[in-house]
Amino acid sequence: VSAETLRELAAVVGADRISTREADRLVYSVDAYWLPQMWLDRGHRTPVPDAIVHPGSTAEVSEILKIAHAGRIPVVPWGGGSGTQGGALPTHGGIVIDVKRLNRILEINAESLYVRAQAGINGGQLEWALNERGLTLPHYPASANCATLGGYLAPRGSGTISTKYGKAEDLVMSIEVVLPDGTIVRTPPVPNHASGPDFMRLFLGSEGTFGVITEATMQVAILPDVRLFRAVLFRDVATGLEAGRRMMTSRLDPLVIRMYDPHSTGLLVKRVLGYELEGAYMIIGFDGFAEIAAAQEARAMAVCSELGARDLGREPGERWWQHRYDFYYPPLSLKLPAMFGTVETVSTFDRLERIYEAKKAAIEGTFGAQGVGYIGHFSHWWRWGASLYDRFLLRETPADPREAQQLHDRIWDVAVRTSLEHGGMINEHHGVGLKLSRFMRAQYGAAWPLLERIKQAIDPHGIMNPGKVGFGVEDVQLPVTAVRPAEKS
Amino acid sequence: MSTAPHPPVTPAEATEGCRYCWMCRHVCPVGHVTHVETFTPHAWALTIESVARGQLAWDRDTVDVLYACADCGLCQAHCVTDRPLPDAVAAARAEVVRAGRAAPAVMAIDEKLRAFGNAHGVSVPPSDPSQAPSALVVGEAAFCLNPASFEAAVVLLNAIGVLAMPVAMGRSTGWLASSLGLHDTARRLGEALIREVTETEAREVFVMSPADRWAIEHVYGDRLGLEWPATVPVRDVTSLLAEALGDGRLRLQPPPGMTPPYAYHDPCHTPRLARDHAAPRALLAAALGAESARALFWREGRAHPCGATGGLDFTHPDIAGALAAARVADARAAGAEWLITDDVACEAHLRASAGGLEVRGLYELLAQRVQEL
Repeated sequence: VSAETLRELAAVVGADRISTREADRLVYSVDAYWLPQMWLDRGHRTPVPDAIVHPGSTAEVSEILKIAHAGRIPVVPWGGGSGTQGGALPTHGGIVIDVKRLNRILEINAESLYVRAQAGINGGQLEWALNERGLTLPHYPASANCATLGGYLAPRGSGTISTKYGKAEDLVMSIEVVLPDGTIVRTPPVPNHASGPDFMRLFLGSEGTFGVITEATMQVAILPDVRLFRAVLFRDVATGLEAGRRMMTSRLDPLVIRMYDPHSTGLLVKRVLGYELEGAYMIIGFDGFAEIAAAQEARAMAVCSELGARDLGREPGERWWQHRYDFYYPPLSLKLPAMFGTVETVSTFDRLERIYEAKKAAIEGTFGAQGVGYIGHFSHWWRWGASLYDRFLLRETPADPREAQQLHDRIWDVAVRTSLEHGGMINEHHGVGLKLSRFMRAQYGAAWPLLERIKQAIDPHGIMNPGKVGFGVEDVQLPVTAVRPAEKS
Repeated sequence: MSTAPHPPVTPAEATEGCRYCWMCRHVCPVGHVTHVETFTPHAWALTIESVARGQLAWDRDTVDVLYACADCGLCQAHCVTDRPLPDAVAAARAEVVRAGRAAPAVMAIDEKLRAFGNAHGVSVPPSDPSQAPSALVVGEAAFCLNPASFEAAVVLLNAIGVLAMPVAMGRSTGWLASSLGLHDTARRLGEALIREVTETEAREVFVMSPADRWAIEHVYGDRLGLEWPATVPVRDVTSLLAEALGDGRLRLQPPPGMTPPYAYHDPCHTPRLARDHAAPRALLAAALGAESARALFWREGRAHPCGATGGLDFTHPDIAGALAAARVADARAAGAEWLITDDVACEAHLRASAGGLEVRGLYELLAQRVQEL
């Protein structure tokens, strides 16, 4: 980014809304992806942005993109920076557009139950504002404290109560997006119509590669009268999966079905919730009117009972609900020096168990001797299937960062290949980012060139978040620069 | 808090974990008014760690980042594993001061604190405490910015039968110095208060500001290595008055006519203390009528600071002003015409950004009701 470009940007947002400070550039070079954290930890720098810009309006975003478009300058939209896939990493330098100043709630409509807000608003702040009016945006991801509204939508995120309320993409009614050439586009005001293709969907999951989401209208819900939670214990994953399938296919409407495999139950559930259990721990929740929620719960418990589940009662379910985000705070969360990756997938009921068993066997079989473990839980359910939120875990990352990255990538190769071979999608809700970019061609096969043509049409210069979602590169590596050995003083 | 026990964590360990944790972002007030990633808890931890690892150095820019934290404690108060990130920030600031890299504004405050005992450059009478069953920490803000608040607090204490010896008249308890990394100065101020309280032989100490309670209960031990007399509990005047209101020792006369709609601002540092947030609201409801209350500003157990904390008004007046403006905007949005608080530093800071909103001190307001009986 040249001095002249910086002057042009300053003319748009003001000089005090642009930073080229080293301290800022370092902070904006790392998101919640393990890989750049590991490199930084080992004394190397991953690419940093040339400049960080803080627009205060959609019009300013548009002007910034016009400048970038004309100058062929890479642009990375940045919301909360809390994505786990490296989607916000400035792999090619350029301009980071931090959208957090776009944080206004524009309308809360209690009659039609929607909220219109700018995309940079923090999820927790938005939820507080809605709660004060007896409403909720029923998208409760683990990142709700830190992610932005735009960050909910860009990678097609799911929250803990998606089984009833849907993913973020199911809650969105309309968006405003700025295209790479600065054009401001607003999608139709309602999502369900028959006036041609639903082009809003193009931008959901595009992770900033097609433009910058600047505003969204989201469906909200009235806070429920009750939320009932209960926990049961299954002897194994297969039985629990069958219980979940029966609940969903019989059209029960659970808020949550969340089943931890025996390894997760023994490790994470014990560590965070304090229960020592052997088997597959499942939380089931219903909300709404008390009598309806209770009746649904009774039906669900009958299903579990038929399959031999042990009823653990209400308290272990409620405790999970109250502490559902605790899993993500250090030291309870997976953090360096461990190596870890969430290799989650989604598929139909008829394939789920096979995918789980195959991935477990592949990862433990290939890397078990090196200490790599495999854990998983099933947390987002549909009438046709569910997501498997599975992870690999190595307690101590190899000291040599290159060796660490090679091992990390090899585990990912095995996990993704196994998912694809067994009919799974390579992820359900974290998005693609940099991490899964190299797998997109294999995921989509003959359909991939179509997505590339769409990308080419929208972003002919390839300035938008290059290297992400599989666009523009065959196999993106994260270039690193040695700074100095990172021995902590 | 999580159900699982968490072992105590040192400040150095906190930055190790916090640098890649984003879970408290929604409660960080500075992040909310600046909208800058670098001014959020994880980024402060990452900056401190990066300096410790030789990837950044303490220079003008990184020091500026470090001093943008409000040291309000909301991140730690929210954290389910109780990471003492504010202590880590204060420790890093102390390192910066020791290295001679602190901003001139910080060193100017240090000079004033050393010369006057307060950051306002106001001369104070020499300490001459006599024995009393209890002591009232006046501190710097009440003495330097609004002595009427201190006088009102004395009236209220007298009204419930408490005779307290004023101590630390016009002298900081050390919280500001601690926040700014001026630990030698903070230690001297803390030692002076401990000495004074010891001389009074007070069996309990009352404070007018949550900042002072936080200093005594946490800063002295956790940051400065000072030992507060174990037999001397610290209570804030507001909680004491609310208790007296509850048991009938404090009687307040409602004002004649309708009170303008009001909002209450929980002083900076309140969320990091185990203070009953209902106490000031009960007092206000008794004095002004509950029907005039407009906003609680208490979301999930947290209230945002107004910027009169962490030395922000000296190092980053723009951020401090934005925080005050945000609280004023909250009050306006709620339809309040009065904004009331019990901390004089907050009161003065809010008043500077209040526009047409009337900012009032809780103690003076309550004292007027007592006097009218």
